[in-house]
Amino acid sequence: MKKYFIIALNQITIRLQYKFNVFIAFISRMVPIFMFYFIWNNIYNSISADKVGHYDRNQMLTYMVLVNLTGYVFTFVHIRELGIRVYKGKLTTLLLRPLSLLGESFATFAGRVFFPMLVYLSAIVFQGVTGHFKSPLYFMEVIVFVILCFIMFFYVISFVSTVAFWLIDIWPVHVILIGVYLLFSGVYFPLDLLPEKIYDIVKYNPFSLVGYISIRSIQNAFSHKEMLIYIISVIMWGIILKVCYGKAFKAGLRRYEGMGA
Amino acid sequence: MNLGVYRTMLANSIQQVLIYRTTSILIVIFGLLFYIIEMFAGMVYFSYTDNILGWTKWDYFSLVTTASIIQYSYNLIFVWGVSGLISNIIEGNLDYIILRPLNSFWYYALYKADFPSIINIILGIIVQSWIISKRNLSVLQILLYILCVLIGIWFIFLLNYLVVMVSFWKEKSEALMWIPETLMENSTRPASIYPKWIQILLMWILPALTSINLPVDIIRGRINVMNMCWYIIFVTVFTVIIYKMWYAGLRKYQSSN
Repeated sequence: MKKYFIIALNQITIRLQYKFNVFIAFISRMVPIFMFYFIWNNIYNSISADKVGHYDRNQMLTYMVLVNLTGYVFTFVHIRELGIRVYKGKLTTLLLRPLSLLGESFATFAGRVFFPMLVYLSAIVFQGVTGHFKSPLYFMEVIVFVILCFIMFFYVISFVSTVAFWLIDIWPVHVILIGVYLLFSGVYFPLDLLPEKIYDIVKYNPFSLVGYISIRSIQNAFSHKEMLIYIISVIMWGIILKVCYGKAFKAGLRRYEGMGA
Repeated sequence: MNLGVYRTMLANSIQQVLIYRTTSILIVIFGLLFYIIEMFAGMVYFSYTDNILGWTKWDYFSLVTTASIIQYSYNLIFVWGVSGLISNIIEGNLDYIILRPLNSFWYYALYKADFPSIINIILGIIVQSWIISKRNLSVLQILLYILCVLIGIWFIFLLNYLVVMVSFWKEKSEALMWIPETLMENSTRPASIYPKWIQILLMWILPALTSINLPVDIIRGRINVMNMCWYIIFVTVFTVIIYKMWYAGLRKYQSSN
């Protein structure tokens, strides 16, 4: 366990080391939030009704800001790690070491998003302590759901990253994944603005769970029963993705040549 | 740099497309995906209103399509040179370029073309032609539109090149690459949705909003002539600055290869 802790700590240190990089990344993530804020604000200015779907202006703007902030925690950058190692043949060094590759990868990922995750969880805890949530049980459900989302998201990344064994370059997959995330996570608009039948299917996809559902749960939008269903959905996705990762990784290793491409 | 060298570099790029077929197909898919997302979001926005600050649904689609044409044309011509610069500076790979008896600025900017982007450009041109055909535009408007799209492509290149050249002076600054990307993403929206101070910043100080909005304003018949003149002057001066910065960067460059 200690070695994984050191790996995570190492990543945290790197974040602290390159403050300029981290600062610029922070600024560049902030800008789209304003864009969505202004576009929705002007939609409300141009309509005669008070509400769009179930949302009044304040609810919508809060939702847009929060859902865009989740991008700090649920980032796809880590997806390239395996690809770089396969491409340069450096995976061999890791395979020889007495550690779990998935464990090492999780420690790296956790270290990488440690600060945004800390802020995210602290904000939820602060809201819980100050009585924002409708009941203590609901507060606990949100905390459990968010932590499970974080783990499930790691499995999404891990599974997709195994295409590195078959593809020479992972970056197009990274970009596609960002696109799919934008479409299905509710970053452009809340997913319940979609026709009901589409919404009922789309809301259970992994990206909706980490984006739209997470933020709506923070906004007290769901009942206990709904929260339970979402928690079960996250766990099921986690299990499915972990199994898929295991199979894809094994198949990939058979293709891996052990030297730089 | 002469045409023969460029032709060879284009031939190399085509070979690369054929070798890395899967990657090339994926590049096309993600281009289409982002375009569809933007159009789809526009449909959702305009399902609640006919008009956002004077922008109709078709104005909005025209803006998104123009942004797509500009972005993928930039990718086609310049993106490989720009995206590889940071690592090439750190790894000392610029030696091979400096040694060549060619203009290093142009060689580096144009050394590889991203051919898969052509599909997205063609799609954008088809959609935009269709949108334009529904309006009664003069030939001058269409010519001005095309000219402004070309200037827009060049502007994005200058902006990206400026950012990656920071690597000559500052190590580990990859995150800067996000700035032009974010800036252009935000410019794919009607300029009027932003508060005045953002409009001043992105139309008069760094005219990113102008670069995407201006071609569509020409089609809508709502040009701000002063802003257009300023934009052209800005891009001209910016070109000279970037060119000089490249050579200042090369003097700073220390080979570690």
